[in-house]
Amino acid sequence: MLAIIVASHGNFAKGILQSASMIFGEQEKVETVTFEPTEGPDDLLAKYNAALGKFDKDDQVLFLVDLWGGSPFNAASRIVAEHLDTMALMTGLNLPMLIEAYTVRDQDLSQVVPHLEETAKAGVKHLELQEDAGDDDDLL
Amino acid sequence: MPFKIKLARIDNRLLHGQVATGWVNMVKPNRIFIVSDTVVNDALRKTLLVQAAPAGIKANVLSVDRAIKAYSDERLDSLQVLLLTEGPRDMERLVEGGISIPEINVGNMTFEEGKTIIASNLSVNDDDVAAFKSLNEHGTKLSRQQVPGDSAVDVMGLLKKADL
Repeated sequence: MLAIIVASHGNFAKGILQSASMIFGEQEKVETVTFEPTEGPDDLLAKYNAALGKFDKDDQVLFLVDLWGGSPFNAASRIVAEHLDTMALMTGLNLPMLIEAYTVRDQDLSQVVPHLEETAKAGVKHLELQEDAGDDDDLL
Repeated sequence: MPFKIKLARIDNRLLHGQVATGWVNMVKPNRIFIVSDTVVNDALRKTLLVQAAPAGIKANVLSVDRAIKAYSDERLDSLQVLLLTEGPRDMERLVEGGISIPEINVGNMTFEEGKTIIASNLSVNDDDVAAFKSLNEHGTKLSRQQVPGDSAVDVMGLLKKADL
């Protein structure tokens, strides 16, 4: 099972974890890392290492991070760069991405990453009202 | 061979996040049937519910009678259905009508005046209790499980605990 670290500026990571548990229930091996206004890169590295310490040695780890190029991303990318065979990082964290991650945790990291990228993008959608939608005569 | 029911769920919110994302990912249906005589006559609600279906999965809103008829329609054999009703009475009517439902997933039944709370987000009135008992007598297993990550709890046990 993939281990997951959800990381963000401020409490977004904790909040989205709680939201995801409303939809899919509590999950094992999911840790959050939040970056606070008074903290720097070394604090983040320490938090990431503490989170990684809760996983098993041979776990594959997926980092789901809020923003490309932000401090949580910069610190995580330094860690991932040294473990490219067992870790991966994606940004643009959203709820469809996180929930889908829960459902594909039994798969290999190399398959999961492109799949989540697609799911996260598909989650951005606008409402269009189609008049004939829901026609109950059309069951086929 | 009638269509196959992958998951039958009672949920007064019908198709929402826990269902469209949580349960759909878990049971992988290729069709969603929303069975409700009220919604079928409410054009806007119907349109919005059908739109809330996840990408690639078609949703239909059906009356109870139409759902029962559809069960014997051989052209629908390949459907793997996630079936939703608002309450246990509609589910009981489906079973009475000949649809085989070995197990029902009991989700949200929001509290209203006159209902008894038997678990978090699960409250029942007299008619709900009667419908659950009838389903139980039909041999249908009633499992309380809000989201896939929760463990299932027997609804008959919850009713007994509440002296209902």
